[in-house]
Amino acid sequence: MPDVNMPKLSDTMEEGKILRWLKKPGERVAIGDILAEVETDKANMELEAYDEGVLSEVRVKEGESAPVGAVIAVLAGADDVKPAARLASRPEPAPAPARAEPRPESGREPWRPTVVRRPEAAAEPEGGEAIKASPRARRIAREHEIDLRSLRGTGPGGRIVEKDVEGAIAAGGAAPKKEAETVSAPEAPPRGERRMELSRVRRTTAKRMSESKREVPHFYASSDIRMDEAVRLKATLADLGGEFEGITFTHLVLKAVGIALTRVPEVNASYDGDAIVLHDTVHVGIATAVETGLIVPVVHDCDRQPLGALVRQARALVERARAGRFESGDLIGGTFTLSNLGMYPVSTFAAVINPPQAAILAVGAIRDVPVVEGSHVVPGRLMTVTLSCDHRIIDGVIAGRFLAELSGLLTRPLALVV
Amino acid sequence: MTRVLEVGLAGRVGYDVALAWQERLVARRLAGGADVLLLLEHDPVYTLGRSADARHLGAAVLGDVPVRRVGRGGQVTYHGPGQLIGYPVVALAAQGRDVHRYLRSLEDVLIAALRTFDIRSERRPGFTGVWVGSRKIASIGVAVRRWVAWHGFALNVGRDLDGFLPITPCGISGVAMTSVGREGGPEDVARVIPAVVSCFVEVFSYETTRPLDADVRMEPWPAPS
Repeated sequence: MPDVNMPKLSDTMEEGKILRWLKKPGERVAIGDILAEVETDKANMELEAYDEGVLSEVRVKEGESAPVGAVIAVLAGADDVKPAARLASRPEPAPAPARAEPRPESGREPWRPTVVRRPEAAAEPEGGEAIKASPRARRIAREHEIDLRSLRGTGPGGRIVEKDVEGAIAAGGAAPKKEAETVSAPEAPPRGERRMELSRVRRTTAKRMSESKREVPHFYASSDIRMDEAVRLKATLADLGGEFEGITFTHLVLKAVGIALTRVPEVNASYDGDAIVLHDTVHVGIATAVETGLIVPVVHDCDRQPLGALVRQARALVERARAGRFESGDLIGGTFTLSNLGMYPVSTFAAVINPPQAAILAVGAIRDVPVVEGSHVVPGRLMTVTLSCDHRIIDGVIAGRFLAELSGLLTRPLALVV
Repeated sequence: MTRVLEVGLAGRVGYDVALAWQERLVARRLAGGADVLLLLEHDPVYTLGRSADARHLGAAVLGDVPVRRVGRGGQVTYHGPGQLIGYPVVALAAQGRDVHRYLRSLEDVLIAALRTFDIRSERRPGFTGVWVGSRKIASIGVAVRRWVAWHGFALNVGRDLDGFLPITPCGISGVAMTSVGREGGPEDVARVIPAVVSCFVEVFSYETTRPLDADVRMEPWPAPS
């Protein structure tokens, strides 16, 4: 197992930074292949492989530094690999990368729980005996249609805690893939009707949306936002690639929403009977269409993360969502939701609030329209957004202040990058 | 073996074209070709090093000037007319395989060239580049492939430095830029070239120079006015 070491590129070099890996764990490496780019001072060095084999482990992540001589990766030599592969009778002889999942949030309260009492949730299950579960575990289980009776609690006295429910979700409790075939063929469908069994995702959506419209008094406020500069900004960032590769208007709006929510925190809230719960964190869900229905993966810390990081996180999240491979935490903790239909010829629409959140933003397409500037009519690009609000805790004035902030941020979008 | 430097004077060249030339010259050097010093001026462009923080682009993201992410070290910078760009394609094997030393040598070349115009410049430890007092006159950022260095330096010559205004050059906030012209030297890029070439030859101990012999399109510089 030859080690790959941080190269000494200079007598005065003490450590180097891995700018990027050009080979991924599991990939075959030939002598002379470029493994990585290493930076020291203002020089970038392409790091070549001096051995052949399979890159089995990457020990220093992109953006991190390591001292000269430190092992930054391990190559499984061709000889090491083949017998093991035969034993395991797997075509891909790559050992699993021993990369710890980054936990950027550790040490910080990730999300203040919102306690929303709802009679049906508090009701005892039929069976008589009470299930011991934390309120938060109950809420998450309800949101994902996980039957608490199917779980074994790991909390004190066998109490079901959040972790148990998340584990069940991650283990496929809410994975829509299994329900990909939603078309069932019952006995002789009458007169060209087809009965489509609802997927679990669809059933959850149906239940929650009816609940929301029944219980939450919605009102709507719209705003036309000049997007001329945002259009240019997006084009520039897209050309730039790197962390901005694949940037969309959703990402720009996401960042703007994140900042606007910190400026008007009343919108980043939940109704809780006799109290308004204001959330300290800004976690924004993106309504995402998947084969089986609608799901809302959550982008965390939209206010604090720089735009590039948001783009990366949001893209990875939506990709996992579409593939039906969620990681624990992908679908929970949202404090606000964004629904963008701008890729269709939809100029304006109003979305249904995703409880217990207090508001949702519906984003329409950017249109070329004549706008008045001073005494002239000039071509401009407008995007209409509509905020749906829970009137129990949000008044029109608050909606207006939020839209003013959002409009300002998108009209002069520099603040989204700097 | 005689150490030869081939010098290419390319006039004004778009960033992407010059990048393609460099790739070819690196390949040629790896195949046993000569070291090259390519000198040119760029059309306006903002470039970011691989690890650069895009936030340092500032208002430049909204302008008409193109922005490029490039594989050199360093942060955000501006290139445009009035700036002498030097792209040395140099095998570091003959220079001791030491990239820091190579960066310091490039600084030495520019410091020596500026001295011929009576401009006192220096390096600042930890801030690669060439400085006149607290003002930056030249930026340096290189890439190394199989011990052949490419990318290089940008020496501000003309008085117009407005291209730097929107950005945070080199990721150092509050840094002021200056130029050969502003420090009392010539304001014309073509007038600075002879000094830069001769100092480059001296610092890197080449024995002879000759015009670049490669199939890159070369347009002569307009004669200094």
